[in-house]
Amino acid sequence: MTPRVPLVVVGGGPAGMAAAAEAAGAGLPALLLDESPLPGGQIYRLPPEGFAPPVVDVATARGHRLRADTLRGDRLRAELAASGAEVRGATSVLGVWPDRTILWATGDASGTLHAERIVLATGARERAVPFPGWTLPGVMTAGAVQSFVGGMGVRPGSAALVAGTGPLLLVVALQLHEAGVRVKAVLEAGRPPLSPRLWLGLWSARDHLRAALAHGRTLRRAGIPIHLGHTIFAARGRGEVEAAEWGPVDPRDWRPRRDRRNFAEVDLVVAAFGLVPNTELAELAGCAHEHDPACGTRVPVRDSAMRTTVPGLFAAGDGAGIGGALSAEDEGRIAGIRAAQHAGALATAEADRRCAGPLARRAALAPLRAFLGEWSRPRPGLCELADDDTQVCRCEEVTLAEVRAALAAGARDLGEIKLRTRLGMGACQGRNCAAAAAEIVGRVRRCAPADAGAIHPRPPARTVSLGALAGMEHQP
Amino acid sequence: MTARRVVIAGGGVIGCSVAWYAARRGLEVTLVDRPQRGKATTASAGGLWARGEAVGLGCGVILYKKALAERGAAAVPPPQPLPRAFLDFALASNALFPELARELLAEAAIDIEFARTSLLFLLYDAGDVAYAETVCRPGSYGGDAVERLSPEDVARAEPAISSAIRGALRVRGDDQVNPYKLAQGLEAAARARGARFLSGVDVTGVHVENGRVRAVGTDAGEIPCDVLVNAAGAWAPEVARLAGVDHLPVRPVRGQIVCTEHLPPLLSACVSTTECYLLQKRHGEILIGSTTEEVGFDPGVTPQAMRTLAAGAVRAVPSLAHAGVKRVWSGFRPGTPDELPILGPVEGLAGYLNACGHFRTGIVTSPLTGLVIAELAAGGTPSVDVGPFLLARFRR
Amino acid sequence: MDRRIADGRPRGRKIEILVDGHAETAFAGESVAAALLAAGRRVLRASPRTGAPRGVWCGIGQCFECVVRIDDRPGVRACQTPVRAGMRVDTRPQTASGGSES
Repeated sequence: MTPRVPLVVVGGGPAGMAAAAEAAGAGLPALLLDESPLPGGQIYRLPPEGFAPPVVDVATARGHRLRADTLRGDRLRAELAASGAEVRGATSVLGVWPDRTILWATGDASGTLHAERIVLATGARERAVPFPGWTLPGVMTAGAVQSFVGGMGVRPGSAALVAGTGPLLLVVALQLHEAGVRVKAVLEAGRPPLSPRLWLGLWSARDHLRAALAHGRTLRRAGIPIHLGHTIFAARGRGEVEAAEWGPVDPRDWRPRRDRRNFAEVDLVVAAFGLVPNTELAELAGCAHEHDPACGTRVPVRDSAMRTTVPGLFAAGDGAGIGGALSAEDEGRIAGIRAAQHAGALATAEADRRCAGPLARRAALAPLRAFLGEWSRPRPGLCELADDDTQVCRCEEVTLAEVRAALAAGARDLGEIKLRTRLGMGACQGRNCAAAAAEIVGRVRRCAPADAGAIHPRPPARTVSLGALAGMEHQP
Repeated sequence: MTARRVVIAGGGVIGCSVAWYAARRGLEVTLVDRPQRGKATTASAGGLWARGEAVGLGCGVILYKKALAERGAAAVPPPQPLPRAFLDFALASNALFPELARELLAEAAIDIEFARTSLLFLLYDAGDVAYAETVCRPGSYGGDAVERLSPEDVARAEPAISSAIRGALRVRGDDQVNPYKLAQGLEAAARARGARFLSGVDVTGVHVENGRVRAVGTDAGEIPCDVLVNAAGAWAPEVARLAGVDHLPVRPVRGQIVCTEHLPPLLSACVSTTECYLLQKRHGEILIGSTTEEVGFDPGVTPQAMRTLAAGAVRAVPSLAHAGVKRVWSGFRPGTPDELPILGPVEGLAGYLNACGHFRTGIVTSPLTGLVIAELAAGGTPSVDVGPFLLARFRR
Repeated sequence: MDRRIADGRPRGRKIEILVDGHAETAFAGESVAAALLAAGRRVLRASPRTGAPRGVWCGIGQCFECVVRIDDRPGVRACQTPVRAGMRVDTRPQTASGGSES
C-alpha cells in the first residue's frame, strides 16, 4: 500500500522551507523533499561538507547581500528544524499525478507516496538565450558561477564579461570581483523603466534598492563598467572562450545594434538573463496554467491562498512565478498555513490571522517586483542574437537554420519541430531550448510565442536510473 | 479523365503511407489531420516484427506472461499465432522496407533509419523454452527465419545481454526503423508528388448521396472527393460514424514506453522478453516497451509501468541498471477484437475505404496498407486480397 | 595551475583524483566539475553530433553538458558528483574497445 502523507512539500528553498515550517508548526505533519543533501534551494545553498563560506568582516557585511542571504537561510533552516517537519534530502520528485500521487527517487531507490496535500515549491532555473558561441566551454550561467565561486571557492576563469538582465548581474559580478576575477564589463540589457507609477512604488522597497546601489558603487569603485542597454553578441574561441563581442541594444525591443559592437578579451562569459519557473510538476499534475508576460513563460493559475486548480495542490515561490527569495518565503508561509487550514489543523480565523503578515509583506514587495519585472521583461530582440549556425537546442545540436528549415518544410508548432529536428529530445527535455524555439516559431508564423505549441513535460521530471525505478516501493 | 480525388482522414503512418502510394499513382490526394496526444506512430518504438508479432512476441508475450502470473496456467491459453493471412500480409509489407527506404531518401532526402537488427527473444524459463519450440516447429510461422541460440551464442552476439538465460530465439528479417522519420518521409514524398496536407483540421461530416461518398466536411471547408480513406487510427470510429458506418470496432489500447538517455552501443538486435522489449535507436537511446492498457484516451504514464519496464530491462541487460531514463510517454494503439487491421470497403457505401485498426503492427504493415488502399482507391484490384481484413468479418 | 580562491576558507580533506590519467589535487566535498575547473580543465567532452568542445553550462545538474566518464561509467554529471579519492575521471572520447583516445 502506498503510504498516505498529510502534506508533502516539494522543494527545500525559501518557499518550501517556510511552507513546511508553517504547516508543521500548526500541527499538520509535513514531509519536505529536496534534491540537495540539506535544504536551502539555490539562494540559501550550504557549502559542501568540510567547506565554509569565506571569512567575512561583519562590519562591512551590512548591506552585503551574500552575508544577509546566509543569515536568512540559516534562520529558515532553524525554523524548519524546530517545527518538527520531516526533511528528506537527496530526493528528487520525478512526477506528480492529478490524484496527488508522488513518485520520488534517490540515487538508487524510488517509491511512491500519496499526498493528501502538496505544496509545490520547485523554484526556478535560468533562462537560456542562444547566441553565437554560447556552447563554448567558459560560457556559463550565473548560477554555475555562484556554485563554483561561492560554494566551492573556485574561479571559473580569469577575465569575465557578465551579461544579462536583473539584480543577479550585479551580485555575480561582485562575487567574481571579490574572488579575484577581472570583470571587464557588466552588460545589463534593460534600462530603468520610464513609468512614474513603477518608480513611486519603490519607496516601500528602499532597503533592497540600497543593497543594489551598494553593489553598483562597489563595482564602479573597482573600475568595473556597468553598461545599461547593452548585451553579449557572441563568444569566440577555439576550444574555449577567448574573446567576446558585445554592444548596444535598442531600448524598446533589445535588438542588437551590431554596427556598434565592441570586443573584449575574456575567458569567461556569464549569462544571467533572468529566471524562469520550473513548472513541470505543476503541469504533470494537471494544474491550469496561464501565460505570464513578466517571465515570458506559463505559470500555474493560483489564488491568494496559493491554491492551484487541482484540489489540495498549492504552489509557492519562484516555481510558480518569479518574485525573488523574499516573496518566495512569504508565499511559502501562506501555502503552509492554508494547507494546515485545509486539513483542519487551523481554524479559518487563525489561518487568516497568520497569513496577514506574509500577505502584507508580499504586497509591500509588489511594487519592487513590478519595477524589476518590467525592467527585465525579456524583449523579442534577444532572439536576434542567434545566427544560422547557433545551436538553439544544445543537447541535440539543432541550429537555428535547421529549425527554420523545419518550419519551411511544413512544421507548424514546437511539437512538429521536435519530431523533425530532435529539438527538445535531448537530456534537458526542452528546458533550455523550448522558449527560444517558440520565439522563432512566433516570428516565422507571425503568432505569439505563447501560441507556438509546447514541449509537454513527461515523467521523470528529474533523471533517474533504470535500477532505481526497477526497485520502486509501493506503486499505487 | 480527371484523376480520382482521395481524401485521407488521419496523418499517422498509415495515412501518410496511403498518401504516398496514392499520389505516386497519380491520384489527387488531400490528407486531413488533427494532431492528437497519444498518436500511436510517434509513440511507437518502430519495431518491424512481422514474424514476431504474428507469433505473439513483443507485447503479446508480455501480456501472456502477466496473465499467467495473475490467473495461472489453467486459466490462460498459450499464445495463439495470428491467422496466416496476417503473417503473409506482414511479411509482404516488411519486404517492401528496403526499397521504400531508398525511395524516401531519394524523393524526400529523409533517412528512415531502417536497420537490419533481427529480433532476439530471450528464454528465461522452461515456459519460454516450450513456447519457443512451438515457433521453431516445422510448418510453424518461424520457418527458415527462426534460429535457436544457446546462451553462449547469445553472449557472443550480444555481450550486454544477461547470462541468466536458457538461450534465445533469433528471428531474421524482424528489424527496426525510426517510426516518425518513416511518417515524415512518406509525407514529404507524397507532397513532392502533389499531395496536399491540411494539418490542424478536423473532419466534421461526410456527405453521402445515393450510397456514395461525395464530399468530406472539415472545419476548413468542404472537400469534394471520390474516395474517403479512414486512416484515423484510434479515432477511426468517429470518422466512420460521420460516414454512417456505425460500430467500427476500434478502441484505444494504451502503451507506455520508457526512453533512456543516449547510451554507447549496447545492443545490435531488437530484444523481446516476456517482460518488455528493448530497441536501441540510431542516437543511442534505448526504448523499452510496453504496456497494454484499456484506459480510454488517458495519455498519462504510470509509476507501475515505469517499474515493470525498468525491471524487465535491467533483467535482460544488467548494465542498464545505471542508465538514466530521459522520458516516459504513451500512445494509443488502434485495437480491434481479433488484432487484425480493418482494410477495404464496407457494404452499402461506395467511395469509403477503411485503413485502420492496425493495433500493434501499424509500422510494419504501413507500406503494404498504403499500396493496397491506393490500388482500391484508384478503382483497381488490390495486389493482396483484403478479404480477411474487411469490416464485414465482424458481422458474422 | 590552481584556480582555487585563496581566501582562507576551510575546505574538506585534500585528496587525489585522476583526470585523463593525470593526478590532480582535489578537496573532499568539491564537485568533479569544481575540481576540474580548479585544475584549469574546462573542456569536459566532445559533443556527439559535431564533436565540438563542451563544458559546464548550468551548474545545477539540469543541462547535462558537463557529463564525463567516471570510473568507466559514461554520462555522469560532473557538477552533481562529489570527488572521491582515487576517482578516475575521463574527458576523452571512448574508443570502440572501451579505452580512451589520447
